[in-house]
Amino acid sequence: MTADAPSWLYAVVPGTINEPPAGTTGVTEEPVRLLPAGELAAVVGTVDIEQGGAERLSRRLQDPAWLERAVRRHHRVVTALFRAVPTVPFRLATVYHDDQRVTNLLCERSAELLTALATVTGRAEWGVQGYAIPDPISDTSAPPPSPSPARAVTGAANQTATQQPRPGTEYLLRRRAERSRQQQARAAAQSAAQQIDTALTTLAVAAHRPSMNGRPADPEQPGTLVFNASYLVDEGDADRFQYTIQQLADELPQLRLRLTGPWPAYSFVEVEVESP
Amino acid sequence: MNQPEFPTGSTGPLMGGPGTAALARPQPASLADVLERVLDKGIVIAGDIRINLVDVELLTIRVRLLVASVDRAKEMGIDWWEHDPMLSPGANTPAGRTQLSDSIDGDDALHQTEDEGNGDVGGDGDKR
Repeated sequence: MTADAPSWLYAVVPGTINEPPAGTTGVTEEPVRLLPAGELAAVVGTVDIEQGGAERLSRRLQDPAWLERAVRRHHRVVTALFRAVPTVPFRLATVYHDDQRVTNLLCERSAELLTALATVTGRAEWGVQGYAIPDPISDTSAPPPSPSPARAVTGAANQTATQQPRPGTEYLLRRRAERSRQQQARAAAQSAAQQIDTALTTLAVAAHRPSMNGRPADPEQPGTLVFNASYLVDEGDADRFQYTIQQLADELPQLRLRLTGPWPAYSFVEVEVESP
Repeated sequence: MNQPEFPTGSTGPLMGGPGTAALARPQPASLADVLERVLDKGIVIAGDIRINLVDVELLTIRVRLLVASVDRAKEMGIDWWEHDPMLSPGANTPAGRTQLSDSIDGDDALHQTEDEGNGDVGGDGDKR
């Protein structure tokens, strides 16, 4: 394979843009360039790959330090563009043999890319997460339920007749209390998630609700993740969107709501295209 | 301009409370937020040089987050990796995994800064 000047594709933007934001550099600190193609333009950088580049690139990407750096730099390019013009982000590591191949792609897939561009124009993506705040009262190490205080006040005679529960009974009581607590917590979380999603979908052009199964927990965030979604919101609705989030936070004190954004619309341009 | 305006000011956890007529403020994005998007989203086109990102992301995200934040996570009682068969001692290690461990051990660039030195994709010699 010859890969003399492979082009790393960051994003597609309108063809009307003249030059990329000043000083933008890419994943290998290369200067970022525009490749115009009619109504579209590709934003690329030439990355230095020697022979056997695919395997080498894959290996580099498995180095977590290199991967993180590449991810941050790729995102930085996409974000710098997004602050200036409508931007269709590409996934990390979309690499073509050279600039001409990229231009060919834009010509051949112009219809889909123009659609994607229209989808993101004048809009931004917002991420919303809900974390359950641990409840110390329902701590599983708590002792099983004890006789009610009312009884203790009024029923002195009853109290003297009460015996210490045996260990087996105590264990079963604890298990039952824990199961009940978990069921209640799950139901409450589902109800809250539904409330959040209903409120925010109303204000958004589109919603993306990824499965949370198998999602590694973010060690930077305390609590259990019970809600995770992204919303594509018109610029003019951003304030209302944020206001609604705050209202939801007020109404759902058992959750910690976390808003991130505005993001380039990564989650709303999922067009899978086979290379020519 | 493409970017919507929103209020500046301190970014802290969303606080509730009656009568709070405020706009929720966005929080700083974490690495996990960025990874979730850059590795998984965006236009997915099989370019000329085919990279298998699936294996990379599954293992690398876990390990990366682990190494960067393990102390903080443990402080909070988060320890999922101790129950993850891929990360527990004695788990079968695919060849690529050895490379990961090596670079983690020797790599003080994990406490990262932007724009570090040689980002040459083809170079094997850019150890820190």
